[in-house]
Amino acid sequence: MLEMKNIRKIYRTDSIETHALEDLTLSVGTGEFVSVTGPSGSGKTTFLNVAGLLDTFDSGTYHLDGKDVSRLSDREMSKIRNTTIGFIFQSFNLIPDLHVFDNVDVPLRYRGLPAKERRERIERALEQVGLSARRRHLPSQLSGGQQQRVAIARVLAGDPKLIFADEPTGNLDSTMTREIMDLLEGINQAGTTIVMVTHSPECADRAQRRLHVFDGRVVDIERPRVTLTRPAESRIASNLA
Amino acid sequence: MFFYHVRIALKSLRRNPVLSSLLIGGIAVGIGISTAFVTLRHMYVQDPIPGGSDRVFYVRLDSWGGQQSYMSDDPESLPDQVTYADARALLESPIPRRQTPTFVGAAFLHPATAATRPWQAEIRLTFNDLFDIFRMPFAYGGPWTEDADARAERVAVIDHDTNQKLFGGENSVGRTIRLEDAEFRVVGVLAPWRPPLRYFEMNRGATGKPEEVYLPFNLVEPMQIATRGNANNWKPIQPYSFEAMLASERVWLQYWVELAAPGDVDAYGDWIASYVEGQRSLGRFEQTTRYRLSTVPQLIEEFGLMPAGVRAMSIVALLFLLVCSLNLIGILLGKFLARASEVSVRRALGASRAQVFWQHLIECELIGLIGGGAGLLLSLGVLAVIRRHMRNGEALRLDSEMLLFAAVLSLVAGLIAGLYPAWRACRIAPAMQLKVQ
Amino acid sequence: MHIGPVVRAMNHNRTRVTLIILEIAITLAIVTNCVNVILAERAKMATRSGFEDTGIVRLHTRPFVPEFQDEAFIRTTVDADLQAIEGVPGVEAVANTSFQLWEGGGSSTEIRPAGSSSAPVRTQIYYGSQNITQSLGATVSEGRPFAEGEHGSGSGEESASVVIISRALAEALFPGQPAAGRSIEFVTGTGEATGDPYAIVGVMERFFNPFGMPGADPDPFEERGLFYPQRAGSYAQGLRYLIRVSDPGDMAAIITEIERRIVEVNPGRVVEFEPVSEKKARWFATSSLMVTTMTFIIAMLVIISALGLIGITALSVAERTRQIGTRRALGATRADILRHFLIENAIITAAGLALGIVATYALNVFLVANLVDAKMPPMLILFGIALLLLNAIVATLPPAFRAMGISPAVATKSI
Repeated sequence: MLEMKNIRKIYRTDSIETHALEDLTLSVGTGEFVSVTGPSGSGKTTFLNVAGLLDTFDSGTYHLDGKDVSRLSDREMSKIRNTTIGFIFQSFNLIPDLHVFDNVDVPLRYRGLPAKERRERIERALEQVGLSARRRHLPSQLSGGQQQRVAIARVLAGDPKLIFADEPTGNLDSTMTREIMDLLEGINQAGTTIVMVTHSPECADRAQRRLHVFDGRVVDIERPRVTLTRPAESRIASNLA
Repeated sequence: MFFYHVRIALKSLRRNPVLSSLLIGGIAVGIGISTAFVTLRHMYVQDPIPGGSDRVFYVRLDSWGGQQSYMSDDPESLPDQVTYADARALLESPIPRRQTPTFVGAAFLHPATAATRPWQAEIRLTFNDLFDIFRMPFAYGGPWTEDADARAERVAVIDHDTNQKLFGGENSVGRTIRLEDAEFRVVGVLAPWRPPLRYFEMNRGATGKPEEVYLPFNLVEPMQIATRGNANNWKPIQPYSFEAMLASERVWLQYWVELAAPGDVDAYGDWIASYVEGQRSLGRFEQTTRYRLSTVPQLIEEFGLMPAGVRAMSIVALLFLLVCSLNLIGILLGKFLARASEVSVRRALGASRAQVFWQHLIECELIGLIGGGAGLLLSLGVLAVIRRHMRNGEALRLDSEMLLFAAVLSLVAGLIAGLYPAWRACRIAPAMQLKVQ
Repeated sequence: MHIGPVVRAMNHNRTRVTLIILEIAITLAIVTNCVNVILAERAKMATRSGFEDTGIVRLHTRPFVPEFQDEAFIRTTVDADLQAIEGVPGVEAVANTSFQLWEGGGSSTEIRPAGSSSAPVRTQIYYGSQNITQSLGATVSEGRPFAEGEHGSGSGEESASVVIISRALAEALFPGQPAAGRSIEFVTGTGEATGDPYAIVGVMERFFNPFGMPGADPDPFEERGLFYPQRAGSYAQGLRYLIRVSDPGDMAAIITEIERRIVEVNPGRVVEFEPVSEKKARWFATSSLMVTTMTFIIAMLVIISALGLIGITALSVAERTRQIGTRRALGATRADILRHFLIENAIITAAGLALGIVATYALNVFLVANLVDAKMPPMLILFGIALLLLNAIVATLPPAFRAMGISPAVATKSI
C-alpha cells in the first residue's frame, strides 16, 4: 500500500536547516493497522504530512497504492487525498461554519459525485458513527467525541483505501478514546489500511504493528505483544448509542 | 482605570502604525469633508439676527395693477419691494418697535488727499433703526440720532474698510467725507462685519457685501438720490421726473420692521390690512388686499439663496463618513479578534467583560478623535477651496458650533465603527483561547 | 457548484457578510449619484452663452467728473471711446451696450407683433451701438446687423426704430415664419401698446443670458433677447462696452492698450475690465465646486472601500487558514479554493449591488428633491455596477490567491 525509501525532508529558514526526516524507509501493507509513536519533535507529524501527501519531500522514493508520488502534480495529489486517503485529525478540523451534514459532504463535493449518491453516502456514514440525528448541528454544538465521530464519518463517506489518523484521541478523555479506537478497529476490520500517529501507548498497543520514529528515522519495529479480541459490529453500535 | 484604557489603546495603535494611520485617515477624510459642507450649509441656516430672527419682518404689499400678477406666471406673487408712498405711510404705524424703508444708491467718494483716486461707493439710505434691527457692530461712535433722521442732516456711518481707506483706521467720528460734491459728518464707524448674505436687500445679488456708506433716508428728496437696486413698475412714469417717480407706482424700496414680540405680528398685520383697505377706496390696490410679512430665514428659503446642492453635498459627505465607519468595523473586528488570545489572558487574569468592552471602545473612540482632529485640519483646507468659489466665502468660517459638531461627529463615527467589534471582543471567553483555535 | 454550502456557511458569518453588503450598497449609491451630479453640473457649465465667451471682455467706465451729467456730452464721449477702442490692434469689434453677460439678470419688457392683440411675450431687452452683434460674435442668420447711423449720430439722440431679436424670440412671436421685415410693439403692464412699432431688421441665431440664481431651472425667457440701436450711458451707471478680440491670448496686452486710450479720451473716470469667461466661471462657481468635491469623494471612496474589502477578505482568509488547509487535505485542489472564495465574494457582491441599486434610487430621489435636474440614467447604474465589480474583484483577488497558497499541512499543525 505504502512504500517509502530513503525519504529525506529538510526545513530551511535563513540560518537553520532542520532535518525533519532522515533516510526514512518503511512499508505498510494493505489492510494493516500501524501505529507510529515517538517523542515530540521526532518527525511524527512530518512523516504523516509526507505520507498523506500534505507536504512534499526532498529526496527518496515514495510509492502510494502503486503510484510514484514524486512525479505527481499538485492537482493529482489533491485527487489522491480526495479519493484514496482519509484523514482524522487531533483537533477534528471540522469546518465551523458548516453543519454536520455539510461537513461530511466536503470531500464528496470535491470528488464531484452526483447529489443523490453523496446524500446516500453521507446518511450511511452518519448512521455508522451514530450521529444521524445530529446532521443539522454545528460543530460548536457537539462534544469533542461527537466531533471526532463526525470527522470519522467524513472519512467513511469517502470510502478510502488508506486512513491517516493524527493523534485522533489527543483531545479526548478515556471513555471517548475507547469509543474512537473501537470505531477505528472496526473500520480496519472491514479492510481499510490505517496509519495512526499517537503518543499514547494504550492506543499504540491496539495496532497490529508499532513503529517508533526517533530523530527522523524509523528506529524500532515490533509486532504487537498481544492479539486483540475483535469487537463485533454490534458492540460498536451499542457503545456509540 | 480610564487613563489605563487610554494608555493601552495608544499602545495598541502604535503597534501597527500602517493600519492605524489607515483607520485614522479614513475617519479624517470623512470628518473633513462632512464638516466643511455642513459648515457651508450652516452659513445659510444659522440664526441670521441673533435674538431677533423671529421678530424682524420684511414687508410686501400687493400694489401691483394692470390686471396681472407681479410675476405673470405666478398668481400668488407679490411685488418684491414697496413704493415710496407706501413706505411713507407704513412709517406712520405705531406698532413696530423699529422700522425703516431702505434702498441702495451709488456715489463717488472723494478722498481728502489727491494721492487716492475717487471711487464709486455703494450707499445705503435708511433710518437709524436699521443698525439696531440687524445688530450691526460699531467700532467707533454709533447710529445717528432721531433728530438727524427727522431733519435729514448730512451725517454718515461708514464701514470698516472705508474707514481704513479714508482715515487709515483711526477713530474718524466727527471728521467729514465727500460724496460727489456734498460733505457729510461721520457719526459712526462699523466694526468689520460680513454676514453671509446682505440681509437688507436679498432680492438683488444677496451674496454681496453690505454697503460701504450709510446715510439718513430723508436725504432722498432734498438730494434726489436714485436707486441702484431693482425697480419695477406696471405703469409708465410719463413724463419722467424725480418727483413723479416718488409719487408713482414704482416699487423700489425694501421695508423692514422689528416687532417688540413675535405675537405682535397679528396686530401689525391688522394695521396694514386697514391701511390697504383705506388705499383701495382711493383707487389703489385694485387687485387684492394681500400683504406678506416674512422673516429673514423665510426670505432665504423663498428666494432660493442657498446654492442648489449645498444640502445635497452635506448629505453625500455624511454618507461618505458612514462608509468610512463601516469600513472601520471590518478592519477593527479583524484587529480585535486577531489578539483574542491576549484578551482571553486578560479575562483569565480577572478583567471583567465590561472592562474589556470599555478598553476596546476607548480605542475606537481614540481613533475617532485623532481622526476628527486631523479631519478638522483637512476641513480647513476644504473650506479654503470652497471659499475661493463663493462670493460670500469670507463669511464662511468654522465657529464654535461647528467645532462641537465635528467633535460629536468623530465620537459618533468612532462609536459606529467600534461598538460591534468591542462587543465581540468582550464576548471572548477567558479560557477558550488556551485550547481551541 | 458549491453554492449551497457556501451560502449556508455565510449564514454563520452574518456580520462580515452584512458589512460588505452594506458597504458595497452605499458605495454604489454614492458613486453613481456623484458621477450623475458631476455629469449634470458639467452639462450645465457647458451651456454656451451663444456668444464667443472667451474672446469677449466687458469694459465699464465710471465717471466722477461733473461734465458726464450732460447726456449730449456722454454721447460724444461714447463715439470717441468707440473710435479709440476700434483703433487698438487685435480688437475685432466693440459696442456700447447695456447688455452684461452672466450677470444673473438684466432688463426685460413685454412685446407682441405690431398691431396684433396676441398675448405679450416677455423678453430681455438691451440697447447696443451699431456693432453690437459683431462684438458678441453672434451670427445674424436672417436680415442684417445694425447699419451705420441707426444708433444716432453726433450729440443727438434720434436713433432708428429697428430691432434685432434672437431666434427663440422670433419663434415665440412668429412661429414657423420669417421674422425679419415684420414689426413689433411694446406692451405696458396694463396690456396697451406703447410708442411706435419697431421693425425687425435681423435675427440672431443664438442668445443666452441667465436670469435668477445659478442652478435655477432653465427658462425659455433666458434665450429671448432684443437689441435696439442706441449709444448711451449716464453719470450714475457709467459707460459700458463689450469688446471682442481676435485672439483671446492677447487679451491682457489689448486691455492695457485700451485703458491707455480710454483715459486719453477722458481721464475723469474709473476704468474696469472683466473678461466674460471669468464672469461665466464665477457664475458656475458652485457647479465647479461640486464637480471638484464629488470627484474627490468618488476617488477616496473607491480607494477606501477597496481597502476595506481587502481588509475584511484578508481577515476572513486568515480566520479560515486551518479550514482551508483541511479542505486541501480532504482533496480540494488550489483551483477549488480560489473558486470557493470567488463564489463567496460574487454572492456577497451581487447582494450588495442589488441593495445598492435600491439605495442609488433612494439617494437620487433625495438629491433630485434638493438639486435640480439630476435624474439617474440607467446606463450610469450599469457603469457604477461595473466599477464596483471591478473594485470587488481587484480587492478579493489578493486574499483569495493567498488562500490558494495555504498548504494542506496546516491541517496537522497542533495548536
